[in-house]
Amino acid sequence: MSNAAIHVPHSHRAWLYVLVSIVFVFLLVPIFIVIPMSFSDSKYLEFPPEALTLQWYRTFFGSNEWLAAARNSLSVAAVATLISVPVGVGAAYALNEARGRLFVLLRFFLLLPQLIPVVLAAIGVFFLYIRLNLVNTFAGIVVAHSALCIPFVVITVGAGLKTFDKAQENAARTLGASRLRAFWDVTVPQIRLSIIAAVIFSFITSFDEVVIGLFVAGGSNTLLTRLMFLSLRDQLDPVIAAISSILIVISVLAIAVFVALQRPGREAAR
Amino acid sequence: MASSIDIRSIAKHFGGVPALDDVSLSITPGEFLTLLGPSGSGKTTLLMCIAGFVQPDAGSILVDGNEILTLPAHRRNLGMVFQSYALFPHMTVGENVAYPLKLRGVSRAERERRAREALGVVQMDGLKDRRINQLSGGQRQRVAFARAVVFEPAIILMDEPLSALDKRLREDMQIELKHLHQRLGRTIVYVTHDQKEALTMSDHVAVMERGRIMQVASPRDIYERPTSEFVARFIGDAAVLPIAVDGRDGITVPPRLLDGPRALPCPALVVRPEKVEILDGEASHPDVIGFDGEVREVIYQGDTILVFVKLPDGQSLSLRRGTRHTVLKSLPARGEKLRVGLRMEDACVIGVAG
Ligand SMILES: Nc1ncnc2c1ncn2[C@@H]1O[C@H](COP(=O)(O)OP(=O)(O)O)[C@@H](O)[C@H]1O
Ligand SMILES: [Mg+2]
Repeated sequence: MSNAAIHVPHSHRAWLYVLVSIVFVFLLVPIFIVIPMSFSDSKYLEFPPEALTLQWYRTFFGSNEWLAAARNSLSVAAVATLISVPVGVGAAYALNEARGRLFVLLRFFLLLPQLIPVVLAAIGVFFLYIRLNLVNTFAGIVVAHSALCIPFVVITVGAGLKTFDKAQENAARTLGASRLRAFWDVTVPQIRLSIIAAVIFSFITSFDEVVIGLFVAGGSNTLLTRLMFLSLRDQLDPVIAAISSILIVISVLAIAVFVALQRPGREAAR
Repeated sequence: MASSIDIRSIAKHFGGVPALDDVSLSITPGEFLTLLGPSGSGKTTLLMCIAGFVQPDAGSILVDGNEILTLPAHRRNLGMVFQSYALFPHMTVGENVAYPLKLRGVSRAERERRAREALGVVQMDGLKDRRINQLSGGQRQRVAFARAVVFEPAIILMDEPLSALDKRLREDMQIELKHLHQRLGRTIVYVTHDQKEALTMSDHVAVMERGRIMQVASPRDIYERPTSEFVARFIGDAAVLPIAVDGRDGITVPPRLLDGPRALPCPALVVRPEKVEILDGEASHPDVIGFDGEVREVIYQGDTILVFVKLPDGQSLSLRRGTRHTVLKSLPARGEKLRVGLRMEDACVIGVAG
């Protein structure tokens, strides 16, 4: 269907433009208030800023506590991504192959960590970890975060596999590739965008996570989000705005890279 | 070079529904065998059993006398062309064709040489650096074939490889594939639901229905000597008319025609439209089975013209003629009485149910 086939006058679509604008404002304004606030020379979070300073960025990069928390968050997110992406890709592949009621149930189980309220999950994890001696351990927080990341991997990679022609993998097998080799040589390159999306989602999901981190990631394994939350409670410090701004820039860059990879021009040029 | 295939009593059920029901078939080395049947008759399932993607519930498949059902798909050394071609869009044409050689550890230079050679066979050597999405349907078809033969498999499997092409190209490719088969001499198992395609290309045609093989024969025999009503009606047009024997209703045929099939419980005559002649006033001939009827409809189809004739007992048959001017001029009009006949050499008797 060509675009010309359904021409609706702009005047008839005015309400849509208004609606979309409102959505944009609500989504974007909070984000772009934070960035100017991070440059404010006031001791408290303030908008609009009266004078500009880089002091809060200096504070962040000069604080061992903040930097340690940032390092913790980065390593937890990295390891949780390394675990959840292969596991989730495998699960998505299996679910895509399989038929039957059992697998519907299995899929539901895999998605469950994102379906239940995270506070409930956090409380459950907390009590379980007390028994297992996993509270405030690196392994503990990584496992909990992986469980939260896997649903995103299963959904994005599952969607990628839906549009993949299974016959290609079979073709590779008749040409002499084992199942694993066929998957690696033929399937993975073609679902690589969904896998990259899954990596980004997983990393952000873990990096962004607050609630479970509050319960089970303390002590030397304190995560950035937990520290932000706690300091927000004690003092309304613009350091938080500075950190948030850094995170926003990183997220925007990650998405920009993803969009650039998605451009069809690159596909052909590769 | 080419291998024989022996399919013995293969059965496959999907959730209790039989997709293959005691299928046995022998294919000689270098043969072009076509599995022909309506959609859902089990052709793909049988091909997938050979390829190794479907494990049969029972039976065995021997290639050159060796059981292959115990081998995984990638160890069966079969070339396969898929309906969707299944070319890898993230590789160039050349990389696609070289892929099976790469898997076999062939050196880079040798890979390129053999890929170029295989592409040459299908006249695609100039396009080896193209991307798959830059190819037309016919070109993709050729690349898929080159990729399936480049590692010199003894057997090539093809599942409706031409069904995505338009009619003209499909007919050209039929001839081209037939020539490639003659040139390469490999055993080919080919799947189609298009009877004309099957007749054009094959050495032997196996007609399938509901998971069973109904008949295996040469294209000529499958058309001229069907052994069942299903095969007679599935391939070409046919009227199937019950024959009067032992006081039953039906048409009378010379007793000689019943010599062979006398044992059949309910014999019937297969009447192909193009074999029916118009008898104008000739005296009845002992070698011609005559029918009196009335023209019910005349349909002009360009290359041929089809005349439906209603017989006195309510059954009907049709006759087909080329549209030469003299033919068109002499054809009867609707409603006219007509006497038609079928030569005994053109008659085929089958047994029908009930
Ligand atoms: N994977 C499968 N699961 C369940 N039923 C199947 C499967 N593959 C084929 N069938 C069934 O088996 C029968 C034969 O199918 P198929 O071999 O694809 O027929 P054809 O290729 O002749 O059209 C059909 O009734 C089809 O629905
Ligand atoms: Mg099929």
